[in-house]
Amino acid sequence: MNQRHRQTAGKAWIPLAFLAAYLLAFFVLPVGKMLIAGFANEEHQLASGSIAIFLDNPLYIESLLNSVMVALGASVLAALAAVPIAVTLWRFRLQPPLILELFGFLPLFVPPFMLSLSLQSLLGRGGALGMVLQTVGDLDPALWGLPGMMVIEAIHYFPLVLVTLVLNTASFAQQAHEAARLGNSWSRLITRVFLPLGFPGLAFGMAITFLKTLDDLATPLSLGITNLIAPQAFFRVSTYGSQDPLSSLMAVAMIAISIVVWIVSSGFVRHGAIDWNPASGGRTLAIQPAHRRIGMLCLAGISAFYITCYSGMILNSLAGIWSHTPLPESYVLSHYASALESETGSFINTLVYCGLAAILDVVIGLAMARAIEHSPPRWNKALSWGAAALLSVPGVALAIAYLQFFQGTQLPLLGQPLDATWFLLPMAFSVRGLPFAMRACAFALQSLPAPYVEAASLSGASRLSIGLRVILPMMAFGLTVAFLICFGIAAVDLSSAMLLVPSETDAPVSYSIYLHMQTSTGRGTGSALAILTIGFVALAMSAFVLAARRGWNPASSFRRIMFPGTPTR
Amino acid sequence: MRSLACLFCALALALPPTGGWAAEVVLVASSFPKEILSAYKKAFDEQSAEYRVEFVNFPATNAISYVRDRTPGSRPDVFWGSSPDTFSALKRLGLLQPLDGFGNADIPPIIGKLAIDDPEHFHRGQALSGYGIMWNKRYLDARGIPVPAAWSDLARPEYFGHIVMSSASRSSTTHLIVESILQGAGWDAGWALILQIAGNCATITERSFDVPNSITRGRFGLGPVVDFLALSGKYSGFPVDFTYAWPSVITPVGIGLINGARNPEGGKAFIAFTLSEAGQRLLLRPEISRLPVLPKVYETADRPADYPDLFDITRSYLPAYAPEVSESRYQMVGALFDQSVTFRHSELVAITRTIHEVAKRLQSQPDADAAALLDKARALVYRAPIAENDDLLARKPLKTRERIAAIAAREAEWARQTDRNLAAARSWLAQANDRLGRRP
Amino acid sequence: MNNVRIEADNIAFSYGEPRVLRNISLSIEAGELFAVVGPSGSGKTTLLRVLAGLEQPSTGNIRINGIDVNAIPLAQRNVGMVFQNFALWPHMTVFENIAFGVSKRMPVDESIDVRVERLLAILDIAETRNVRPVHLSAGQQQRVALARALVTEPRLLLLDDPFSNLEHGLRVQMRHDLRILQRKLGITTILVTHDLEDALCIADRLAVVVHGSIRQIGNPTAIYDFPNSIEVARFVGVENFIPGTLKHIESQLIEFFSPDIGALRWPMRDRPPEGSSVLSIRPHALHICPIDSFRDGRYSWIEGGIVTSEFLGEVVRYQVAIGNTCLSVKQPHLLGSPATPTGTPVLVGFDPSRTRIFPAARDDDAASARD
Repeated sequence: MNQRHRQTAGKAWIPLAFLAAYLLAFFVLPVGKMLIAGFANEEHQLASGSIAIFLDNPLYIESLLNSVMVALGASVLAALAAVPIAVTLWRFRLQPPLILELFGFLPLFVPPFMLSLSLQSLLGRGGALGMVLQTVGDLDPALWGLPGMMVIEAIHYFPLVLVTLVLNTASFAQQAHEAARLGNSWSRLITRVFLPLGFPGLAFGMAITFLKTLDDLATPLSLGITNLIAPQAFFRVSTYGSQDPLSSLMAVAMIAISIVVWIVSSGFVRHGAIDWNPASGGRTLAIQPAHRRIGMLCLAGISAFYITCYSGMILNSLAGIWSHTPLPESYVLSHYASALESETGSFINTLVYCGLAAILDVVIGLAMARAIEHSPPRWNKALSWGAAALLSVPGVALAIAYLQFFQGTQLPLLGQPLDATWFLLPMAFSVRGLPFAMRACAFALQSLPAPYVEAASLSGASRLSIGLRVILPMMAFGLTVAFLICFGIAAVDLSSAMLLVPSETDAPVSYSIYLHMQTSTGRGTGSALAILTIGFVALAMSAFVLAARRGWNPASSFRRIMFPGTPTR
Repeated sequence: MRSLACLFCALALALPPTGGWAAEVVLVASSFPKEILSAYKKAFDEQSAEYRVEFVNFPATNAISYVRDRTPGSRPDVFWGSSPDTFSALKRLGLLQPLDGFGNADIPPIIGKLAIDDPEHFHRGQALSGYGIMWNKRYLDARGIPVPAAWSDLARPEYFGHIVMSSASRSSTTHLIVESILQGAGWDAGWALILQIAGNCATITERSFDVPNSITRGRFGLGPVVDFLALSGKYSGFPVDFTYAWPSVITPVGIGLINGARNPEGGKAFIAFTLSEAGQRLLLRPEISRLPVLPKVYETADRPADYPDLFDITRSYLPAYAPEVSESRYQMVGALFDQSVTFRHSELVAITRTIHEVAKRLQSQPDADAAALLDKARALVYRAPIAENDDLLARKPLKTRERIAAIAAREAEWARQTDRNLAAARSWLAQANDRLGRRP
Repeated sequence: MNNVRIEADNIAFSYGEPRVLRNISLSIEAGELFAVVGPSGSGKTTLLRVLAGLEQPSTGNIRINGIDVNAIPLAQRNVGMVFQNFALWPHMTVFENIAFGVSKRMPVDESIDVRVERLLAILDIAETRNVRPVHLSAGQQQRVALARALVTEPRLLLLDDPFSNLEHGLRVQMRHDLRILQRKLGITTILVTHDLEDALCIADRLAVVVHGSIRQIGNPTAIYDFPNSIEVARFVGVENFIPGTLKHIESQLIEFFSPDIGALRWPMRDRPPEGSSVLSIRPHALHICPIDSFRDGRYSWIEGGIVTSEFLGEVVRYQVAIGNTCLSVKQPHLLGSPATPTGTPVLVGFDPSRTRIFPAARDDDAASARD
């Protein structure tokens, strides 16, 4: 039976107006103005001048192609690595523990340039493996050029691809195993069952890898790679200012590429509306110990690989003097002390920006989720896909759009230009987090069906007490998850932060890490800061798992939240 | 709609991100690394009850537009940086206030041949920066590479693949070095040298600090850096050393009060602090290692043993360096460097490698034709991107859309020209290689 | 003044097109237990929600004791409601769930605790006082939901299919208890259910809602015996609908003709209009006899053949083909007697006075009536 709120219809325009104002001010108008700036001349007429210059410069064309190539290469590499491992886990019916599954989402919460810098320490000529293996050849990733970036991004996003693949196929591993016992060959099962089932997850993971790689600014810069479209746009904005028409064009080109990729991949993701809950109930066949060992070996191998990759950073954070020797000469903890002492400011900044962005995301996401729930079905689809498509707006492009749009806007009370304050940072972060926020909020809304509120309002309790005692407690978990996801995503959004940070004292932690990595006396403090941050994220995830074990069982819902664009129910 | 946006931010700004509002803020724009800024912040905030200092940190190359784009009254209070060009530009644009009757009387106005303060007192010398080459001793020893003495040494084949430098458009240090080479050696010879050094580079880093960083770490062998970064590494115990390479450049680190500052009195207080004995002594800390301009600081006990001597260094100062010339073409030199080095670095490295190889083979088996081809290729690859008298290098108003479009059109032209030059040079080198290859 | 009278005038409601409720007018007497029944999707829950004030009708108005309810805010209407899935707040204990609404409107002479405890005792769930809803059985949850609805001493109690989540035995018990409690408290109660048995056995009166409009209002026996339309007839368990034509022969005599059963004549006082009509009859108003048995004159007899038989326990249900028509017949099961085998030719007899004749309103009705 159709149970929808009607009595709220009268006041529904308030959140909708808020929503529209937010989207207009912080997304539609800035991006629209940037489009116009890219394609129009001074008199706002359509002009092809800047396009001609853009196309005329072989450097820009090359950068564009390089970007697409690197992004494509990274996603294909990640997929190539993930498929065999996922097949192995599927074949041996090994569902990784929830905590490992969540760690699969870590790439979304940790910036990839950390991996790049860690590998530079590990493989560079200055020490560790790079020095030991100097006779074999130069391993420094900064010297590999584009393939280096491809490999680094692939390594960084591989866990995400693997986890999406595993989640999409895990619920059918049991059935496949039974089918195999009934005489179906595994090769047939893999081609006819595993691959079609896993494809939506694979497509989603690859799309995220592609979009994030295209958008990545800190990683190529840390590797000294400049002939990619994001660094080119960054260089142009920092040399010629935000009014540069070519940087608008580059941003537009990035958006265009991203939209194409998003549409292509979402075609696959949409058809992947399957149950992500691992099959429960029924008698599960015992897993042979040998199989379990192989699967565990796989997981242990992956974990060891990642620890090795990040060992450069771990060593750096503990190294006193480490110069051109395989291992540091001395170990100190002072980097951690100085990270904690000097970077409390940037920790607070991160808390403020990402907190604001996440609160905004939760509010906007709730409004959007509600609007979607209450809209006619065709709107419903258009809205949720529209929101998911926000994923395809690269951070660099959004930041350029903001700089252009808000240039010259003065703050009313403080008399400061808007782009000199940190205000734009949380706004950009919130737009970037919105696709995830919306899904998480839709999940939170589902935990509060209408009758629960109606029962409360019929009981005669005041609106306040209904809000505090019924609505909030029942949605608390979903909203917390939404908040945490948005917070995490905002915390690593370096691409927009690098362009929008007004001053070093206003920098969020991720940018501080980036800056610290480049001080003269080594990367100790930056590495320590990075380790602290990663540790914090890992801790938050473990806490989430603990909370999940107690009382609720939100794991399956959590899995769903991470796939924008697919149905939430 | 904008007013709506403003409303949002007014609300949002009700919560300050860091610190409280107890003391009035002095906003200092600077290009210095964190160590220096945080040491001065700590020292200044401790001794001043009225003010506390906040830093805006970005490459000095962006400082002018940052200051100019803001309306008077909302600008930072102080600019503090090592690039004389930036001060020259700020002064020309009327963005500095004169500091008359101000400063520490013990600081001599001229040290060696170098004028410390601005003649019209628009900015003060706060420290000295020297530029030179830093190297990792272990790295060079392990590979048997000699220590360089002059900039031109860096073009030699033995340094191929071991140098690291930053981009002139992103790092004021690199810009100053590039400009000093261009002025010291002349435009065309200067570019030839810069392009050869760049061809020898393993990588072009995005931020200047990455150069000393990767040298201290031993990832790369050597590179051009500002003295204090090298010295702070050295005094922190890393196996690195530093030399003021010829033609050496020494510039005063300037500090000036910005015209249109929000808090001019606070700005003056901060400037006075940096010039005081306490402020000067901070420079001697190992993690800062800058040359103070107050001579009596050098006599204090907390100075490291082999700390450079003020008068030794200033003797070798090259007086030909003209900040006005440098400043007039500031942006274009950066853009030219990016177009011909940063964005084409892998090609430049590849062709430099071939040039070194051909040159090496020529040494063992001389061949006039091959040598001629090699010279032709060298001339083409290491050619100045544009002539010194090009229109673009004359001063023009910056950042109008037409101007940007005009520059962008020229950049497209250079990019195509560079590609053609490299292709031509590659075919000549291949011919030279063929000639050498055919002979037994 | 616990007892309230509710009147609804010409209520319509829609979420957009199509309309969910049309032209609903009814009046519920004070203290009455009024049931709203109808097939799934007929709009009966929506009607309840409109009466509760959870939905605003697009047109029409609702008066409680003569006062237009639109003038009263939802929280002050003093309506108790039990939701279909009970909607117990999972983060509160049973006591907290029940006590949630009382604080504000408490009369001073009685504490919340006392009132809640009394309800817990009345509903026999006192031992679950500090338990969270997840740990309760369906029957206990229903009692808690009922207690929560009753704790504010509402003037109107609304029950949205409260028995649908209960298994049969518990259901019978619960509706019995509910009836006794309702009588004792004298609260005007509206019960929505899709189950006819619930409504027939406890309601004072009931309304049958089909496709968003009320088709019939009356007491249970009247509706059961004299449905006024094909839809209502179908809902109250009439299974056989035979299309044909009706002719008035002479005063108080009618003739019904259907190609399959031929022409039948019988007397009738209030004759339906002539023309194409549908004859309806309940399965247990039909009798089956062997083909060669004596034809009792009180019944009309038709020849047919048994197509299927289902043994349902108390009765055996046969499908009997008569020409193109298939009739459903329920015969009491007699101890030890086997069901008549399929294919057996039989006589089907019925008392014409126990049939109802409806005008064949629409073609689709006639078509669906045939199966």
